[in-house]
Amino acid sequence: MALYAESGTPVAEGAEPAALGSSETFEDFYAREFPAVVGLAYALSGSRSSAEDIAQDAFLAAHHRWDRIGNYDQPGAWVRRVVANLAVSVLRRRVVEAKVLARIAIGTASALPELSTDDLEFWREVRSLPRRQAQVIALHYLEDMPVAEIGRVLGTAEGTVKKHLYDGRRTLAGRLELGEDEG
Amino acid sequence: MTLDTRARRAAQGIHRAVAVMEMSTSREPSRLMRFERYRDHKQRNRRLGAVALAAALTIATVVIVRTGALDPGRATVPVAPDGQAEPIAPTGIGTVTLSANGCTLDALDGPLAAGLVALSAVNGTDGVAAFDVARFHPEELTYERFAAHIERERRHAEAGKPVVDGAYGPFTGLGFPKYAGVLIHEEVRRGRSATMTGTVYPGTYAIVCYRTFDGSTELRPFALAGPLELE
Repeated sequence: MALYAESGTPVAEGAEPAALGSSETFEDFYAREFPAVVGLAYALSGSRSSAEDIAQDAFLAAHHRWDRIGNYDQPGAWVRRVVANLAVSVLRRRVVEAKVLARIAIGTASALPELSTDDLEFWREVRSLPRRQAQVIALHYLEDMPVAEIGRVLGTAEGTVKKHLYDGRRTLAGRLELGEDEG
Repeated sequence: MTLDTRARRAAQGIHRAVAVMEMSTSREPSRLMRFERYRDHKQRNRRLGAVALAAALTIATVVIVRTGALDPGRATVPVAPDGQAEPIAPTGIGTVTLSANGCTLDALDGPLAAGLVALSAVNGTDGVAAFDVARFHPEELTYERFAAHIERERRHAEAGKPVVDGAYGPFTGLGFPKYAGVLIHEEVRRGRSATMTGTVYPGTYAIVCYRTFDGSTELRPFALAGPLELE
């Protein structure tokens, strides 16, 4: 549920602040979170070229509102929600991709390395799931995130997250012809 | 190999790719400088975009005024080659309503076609609700057995039995029945309605309605509505 502010910048709707956080600097926050957030963008968009730009867009949105977001208990959850929404938006992704390909051509941007065939196949199947299931599966496996935390990132009830995880895992196991592990 | 093993391996692949990108750009400006460069680039583009948009709006206004394109008498409707209007909206198939007493499906009359469909979902309860459009195979799982399965889940939820540790899904150990699968899922806030849209195949369908129990925020199966045949 990404909203777009006047400037066209994506914001995370309802990313509620918990208690006041540590008010760390944006620079420290960015340095710590950037690799994980790019990874999430890569997994959900499947685009080597635009994953970094999707992540940068989310951090830029956080930077504009850092007075407020920096005081959240988990500003990382806010950025992940923006990325999760941007990365699964086909239209938005294509716009970003077109821009970044032009920048790669003139050498001012770089692309992520290609994944192995097996990994490509796995993430392609994840992206073919319904949007919410794909987001839940990516957060669960990429960041070992517990259900409650995934709920906080996506702004969804815990029960709903469990259901998406259950449905997504069952579909993936079927499509990839793999056995499901117990919980 | 299990799904978890494969998934964790694929996650490592992503982490490796990001690490390689980080190493390959370490000779370039630092990570933070890359961010600042990106931010400056976006601000410059936004300014250029605003100028271009203003110019385009001016030209469009002149063209509209000169050609009278806003005259309603000149409006035309796009028509397909065979003379039929192009279908651009999903086909409505009915309304499912969840209340404190149960869940009812009011399907539209006549044979309903599979494809891109829309089902209105009304949450008449005082808590959040969810709805699944589930396809099932009547030769393996009758509607009555499907409904009895959901009924057992409801009784477990009402009795306060927790979801079994380690089980995925909002079920108390029974899980989603075999020979049934979810094609569309939608969460609806209390007292609100939503339109569930998705592409479905020909077959037999039922709607699983979920609600919260006893102040918990966990959505659990409450009732089944249907069946519904799509051709």
